[in-house]
Amino acid sequence: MNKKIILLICFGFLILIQIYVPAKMIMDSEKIISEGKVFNFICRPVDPNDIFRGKYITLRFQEDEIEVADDFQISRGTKVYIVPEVGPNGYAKIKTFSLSPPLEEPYYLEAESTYIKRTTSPKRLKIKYPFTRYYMNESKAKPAEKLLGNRMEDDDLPKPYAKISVGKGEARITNVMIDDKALEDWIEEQD
Amino acid sequence: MSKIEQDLTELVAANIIDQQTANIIGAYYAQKKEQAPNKMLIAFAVIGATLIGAGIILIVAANWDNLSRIAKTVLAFLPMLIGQALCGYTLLKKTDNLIWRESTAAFLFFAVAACIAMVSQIYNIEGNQWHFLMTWLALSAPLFYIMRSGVVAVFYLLGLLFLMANYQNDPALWGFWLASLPYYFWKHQHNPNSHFKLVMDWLIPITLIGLLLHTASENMELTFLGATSLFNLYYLLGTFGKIQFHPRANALKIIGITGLVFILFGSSFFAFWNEAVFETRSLYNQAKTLDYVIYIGLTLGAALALFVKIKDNWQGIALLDILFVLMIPIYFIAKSLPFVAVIICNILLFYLGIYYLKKGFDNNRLAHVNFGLLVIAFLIISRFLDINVSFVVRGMIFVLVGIGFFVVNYVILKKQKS
Repeated sequence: MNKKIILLICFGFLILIQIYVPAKMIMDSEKIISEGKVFNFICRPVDPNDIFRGKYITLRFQEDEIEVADDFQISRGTKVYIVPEVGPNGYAKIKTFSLSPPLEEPYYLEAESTYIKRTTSPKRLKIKYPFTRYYMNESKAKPAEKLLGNRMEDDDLPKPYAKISVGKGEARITNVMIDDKALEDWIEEQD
Repeated sequence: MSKIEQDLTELVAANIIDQQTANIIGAYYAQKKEQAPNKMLIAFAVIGATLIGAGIILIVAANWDNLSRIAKTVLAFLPMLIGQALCGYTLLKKTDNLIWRESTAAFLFFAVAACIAMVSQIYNIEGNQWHFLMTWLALSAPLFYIMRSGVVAVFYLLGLLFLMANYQNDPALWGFWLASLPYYFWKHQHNPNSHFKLVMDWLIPITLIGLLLHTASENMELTFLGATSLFNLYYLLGTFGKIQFHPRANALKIIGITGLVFILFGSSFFAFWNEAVFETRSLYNQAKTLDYVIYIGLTLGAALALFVKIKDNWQGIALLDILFVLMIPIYFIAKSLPFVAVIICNILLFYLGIYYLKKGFDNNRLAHVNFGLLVIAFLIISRFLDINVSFVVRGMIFVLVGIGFFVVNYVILKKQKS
């Protein structure tokens, strides 16, 4: 009997942990969205073979390069902390970056280095943001890909952008917009 | 009427046993049957629970857009809550029922994964697959202890293998592996012949091989020596006689022999030494302290096992028991005189083949004879691949080796019959 009670207590703990982990994921996410600041990141065309991955679309962003000194060196996949700001056109741009968390800043996000462009002068560091996936319904992801592709190729039309909530270190994608209208609404109107 | 009952009636009728003995024997088998759980039922229950669990993940993956975020979140947690309720009920009311334990635990195992995956989608949380699998395994490890579920332990180890095959080195993997060991030893003591335990007999040593390869850097010289020690350790443990393994599926022994024979065959090729073992040109392949620690640890382990075995029965020591010791001088010889090392390894292989052939003939064991033949056949074929001889000669050698197999097997079978 004693053994059974111990087992049940352990099981109770396991249940709590199993519920706690996904619940914590949700709470963290909500916290970033409620306490963070929204920045609008302009999307950049993606290799057409790469954008549609079944249940989500892949996003790349125009503002993904930082000027670095000529002797700057960094290995691929290193954490890079980005402090964004709202640029003159109303869209997000990179204010500064650092290799350790800029704790004094109210909003910053953790990105990854990819490579250094050596052809430009000064050299530019390419970074990868931690929000490249936007999950959508299976039936909507395909038309969304087409719509985004058309918009990004045509220079005269306003570019699509992603609303990103930035907290202290983390960031969440909340919406993808075209002309201030959510991507999902565009698809629904098309139907 | 079952087959046993039929046989008993026949034996009583023929006056070989009396009715009383027949009743006792009948009662014994009836009781044994009652104790043994219905294997088919367990299999179907576990497969059913696994399919339902996997099905839920697939349905979830469709990502319904029409539901509100709250509704989706509730749906994400629902399978997990149902699984937890079922497991709780099993612990309270059906704790001795194997079918309930295994199937509810298997269901909860998948429901946990479904919940995490769904939450990531609903809230656009960009976790990578590595993170997802680590979280899943961490949340499942207590499950096989609490539910005493073999199937979850097997899935857990398979998940660990997948992680090792797909990702970079991470010390956390050792923690995950160690976490499964107490359960395995508990199973070994309480339920040594259960099917899931027999599967774990294979998975535990195989995941250890994966972990060691993962942890060591890619220095081939130490990997080669370390692998020899590890396989030798497995082989020695498998042939101890002190640890009882399933006689027909002694996983440690089979993994050990297979590894050792592969290593010997590799070393019998000239190119193996030049191009694989002593390929340390790049800085990346330099041996690190950790590599030495692993190698010395494995070798000491194998030496200890060998010591115990020698103390136990020194006359029974054969080539495969001491291969890891022999490989050390061979390795040093190969450094300066690879040709000599290759010749030694060829002789060792030939000896191994002959040894098993003779052992098989003496004990009438067809498996040993065929193993010996296989080693010799592969040795002959490998050498003919090495040197330049005409296809006709090669073909004839293959035919002769094939005929040899038939003749020897025929002789042994005849001997067994007489």
